Amino acid sequence: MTSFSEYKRRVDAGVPGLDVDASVPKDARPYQGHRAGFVSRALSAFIDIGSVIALIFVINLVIALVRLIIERVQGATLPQFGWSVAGGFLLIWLAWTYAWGTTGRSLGMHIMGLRIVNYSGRRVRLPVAALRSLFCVFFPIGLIWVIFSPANRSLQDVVLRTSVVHDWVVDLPSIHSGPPPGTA
Amino acid sequence: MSEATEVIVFEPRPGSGAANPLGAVVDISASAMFALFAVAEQTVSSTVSTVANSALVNSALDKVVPYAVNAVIGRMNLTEIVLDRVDIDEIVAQADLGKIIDRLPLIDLANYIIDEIDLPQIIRQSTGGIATDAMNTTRMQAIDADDLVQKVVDTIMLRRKARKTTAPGEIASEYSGEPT
Repeated sequence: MTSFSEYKRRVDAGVPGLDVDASVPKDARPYQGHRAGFVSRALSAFIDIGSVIALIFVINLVIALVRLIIERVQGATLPQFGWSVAGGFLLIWLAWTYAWGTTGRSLGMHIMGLRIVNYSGRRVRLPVAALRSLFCVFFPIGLIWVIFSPANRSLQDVVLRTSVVHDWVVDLPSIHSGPPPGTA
Repeated sequence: MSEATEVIVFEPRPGSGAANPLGAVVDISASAMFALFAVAEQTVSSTVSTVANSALVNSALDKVVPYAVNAVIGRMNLTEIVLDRVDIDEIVAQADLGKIIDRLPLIDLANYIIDEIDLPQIIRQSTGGIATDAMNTTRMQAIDADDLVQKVVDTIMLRRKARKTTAPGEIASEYSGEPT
């Protein structure tokens, strides 16, 4: 048990006390703001890709259902596979671009407590997000570089000067249009 | 400056000199002795008071007295004496607690207690759902796996320096501290 004097000395020396967000468990606090490793990032990507695959599957199912009702054609026909893959790529590119350019987190990153920041630690701009997203969609193997990088950076991070950090505290996005009239 | 002049009068006791001359001499001698002692005492006392009030003596006392007092106090167990002879409860009862509380760092104390009992963890456990627990557990396990992968790869690559994972921005400095 830490005595009060020790605690006070620790806080006076700049070691964070309760001024940090207490919603983050103690064990996870030292990792906040540090670049995430391969496993966290891969899991986050799998969640994103999995959710897109699930979405494509649901879209196919809906199309098949509609065709069944209207055209009386049973089963989802295979020719839609190519379109599904293309649609999946497009969907994940759009999803990552929007997510990284607005909140800095995709669905998988939300779940894994990760966030993308640029070279100055701020949110990446939409063009950079779009470029990075494209890079990730067509060259996912770049993530492997995290395992070997001395700074936990993927190939995409190195090229576009971005970082994926642990950030478990989710800030609410601000509303740009301002408060409704009459409430200010 | 005027000086007081003392006049010593030797006076034989009435009726003693005529009858016994030797007795008169003894009386006179005794009177003379007393008078001389009185004068000597006065002289000594005035000299002592003059010396005692002088700056030299004062400065000497200023140096000697603290040593003497320290030596005396050093040979005494003051704590025991205070515990034996002082009614501490009475002193505490009369103390103004408001002023003492004003001097206490109450917020720091509250923060310390909250930190020590890990109140956020208690709140999380009592209010958080299964989903939050599962999410936090997954994140922590992923971080553990990250550390393991890093350790294995760094060992294979004979890398001695720890990875520099601190990213730019305010988050890391807020939580300042390297991962353990």
